[in-house]
Amino acid sequence: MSHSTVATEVDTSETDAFVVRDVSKVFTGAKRVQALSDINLRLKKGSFTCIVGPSGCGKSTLLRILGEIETATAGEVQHNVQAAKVPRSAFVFQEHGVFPWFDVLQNVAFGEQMASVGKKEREANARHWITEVGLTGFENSYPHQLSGGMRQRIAIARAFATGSPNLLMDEPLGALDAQTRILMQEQLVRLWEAERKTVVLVTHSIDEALLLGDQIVMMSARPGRIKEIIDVPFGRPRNLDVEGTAEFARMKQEIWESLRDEVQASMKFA
Amino acid sequence: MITTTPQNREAVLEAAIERENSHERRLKSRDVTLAIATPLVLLAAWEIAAATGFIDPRLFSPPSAIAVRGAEMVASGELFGHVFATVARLATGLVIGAVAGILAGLVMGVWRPVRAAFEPMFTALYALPKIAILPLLLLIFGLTETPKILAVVISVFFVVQINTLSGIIQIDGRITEAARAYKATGWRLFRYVLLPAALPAIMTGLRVSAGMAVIVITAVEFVASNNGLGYLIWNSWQLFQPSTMFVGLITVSIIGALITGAIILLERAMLPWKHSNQPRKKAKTQ
Repeated sequence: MSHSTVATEVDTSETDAFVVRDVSKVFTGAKRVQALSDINLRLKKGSFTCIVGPSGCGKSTLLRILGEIETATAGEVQHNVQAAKVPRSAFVFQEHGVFPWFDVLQNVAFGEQMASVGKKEREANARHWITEVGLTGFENSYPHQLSGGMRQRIAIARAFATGSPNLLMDEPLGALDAQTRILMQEQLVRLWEAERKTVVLVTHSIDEALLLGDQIVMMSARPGRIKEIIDVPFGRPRNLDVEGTAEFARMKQEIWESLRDEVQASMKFA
Repeated sequence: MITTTPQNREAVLEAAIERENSHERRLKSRDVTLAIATPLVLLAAWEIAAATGFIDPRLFSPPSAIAVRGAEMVASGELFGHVFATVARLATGLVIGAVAGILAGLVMGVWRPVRAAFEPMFTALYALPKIAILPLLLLIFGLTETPKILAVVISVFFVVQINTLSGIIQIDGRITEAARAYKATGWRLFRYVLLPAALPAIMTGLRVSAGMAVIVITAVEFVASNNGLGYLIWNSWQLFQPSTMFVGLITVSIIGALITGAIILLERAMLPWKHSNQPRKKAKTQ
């Protein structure tokens, strides 16, 4: 297993999409919670990074800080992508991220609508992505009329249709049944291989991280720190067959060994 | 035992489905029959009880007498005058109160200082029985239409305002987060996220307040009016005309039911995503 070192030097390469420096996050409320502690991370443009770690380790918080919908208490995130009309990062949330009062077409076009893209153009683009995720024929259905897997495909289509260079996904497939999840993992791999956006995906599933990612960022129990960054050796294009290889089983075992202590540590908070 | 060929297996299945369906149809038609028959039977019992002197027909006018009285009042135009007076006050009060309540609730929901300034006061005023301020309104405005309409406006306003505000406050954090992630801000955030998310609560407020408005206008007309259905009911008590009173009661009920029905229709039109089991419009397939 190859380990890449966490970058700490200050120079920023144009090939990095995100450079995270000494980021910490403290939630102040009834009780102070340190969610993240001294995170340093560089993510290359066009890379697919999976973040794994125990529940409550701050992986979602890190994702939100990367996507600028949460601010770091200390430290900074440098974005090497100019913010244009569309947001730098498009999000896919676990659930409830699609708007129930919009039909599929309106939901998928929402990002571009907020970016003031004309109705004709954004709807044509939305239709394209609706086809890409296999929702053709459901353009005018409301989310509640569709299954959970189809709703997540709306969210994925919306993120791609927005045209942002970065794609941030917070357990996008977490609420799906096992079979649907496998199909959507394959679909995600295919879409990403065609588009090559910078993707950061938070997941509970080691299998999913190994199947989808170029690198896996492992986080420790709260306060979240980066424990290890692992490069995934499987080539592209990649499909489910890698799950059958000995290398896959070995890496899965190693990652689990490393995470087990953290998961146990996190149980004390639960 | 039937031998199973593909053909008769199909036929057996069809027959089973047909049995199931016809059973369901029989149950449904029985439900409808019962729903219609029950009140008819009770009315008939009332009529017989009044005719046989089992109940005092001077207090409980038999349905036939109520129907005759109703027909007279419709023919003379008397009933229409009362209906018009009541509906005019109701409609004016409902519209003004609802618009003001929705605006106040929305502004309080999206603008924190306004909410901080008004929420405690409005919550306290909400507890006041609105009809109790009628004397004050009469004192200020005299025996005109204004205090009657205002009484409706005030009772509608608070219910709608509180529901609208809670509709905004209760928006799922994951929805607003998604909106933020896609850079919805300002007017667009309001128009495409906050307003549609709050609309179900607003519609609930309208439905509840419409029921209250009918109660309030009836009570107001009892004491402070010389027309309208409330006046009709109150006056027929004083004149000891029970059949006229029953006509008034039935008419008020019908108006209440019609208003509620209209609001339910409005709700369906405004919230297609809550009710529709069909695509919003026919999907263009090509």
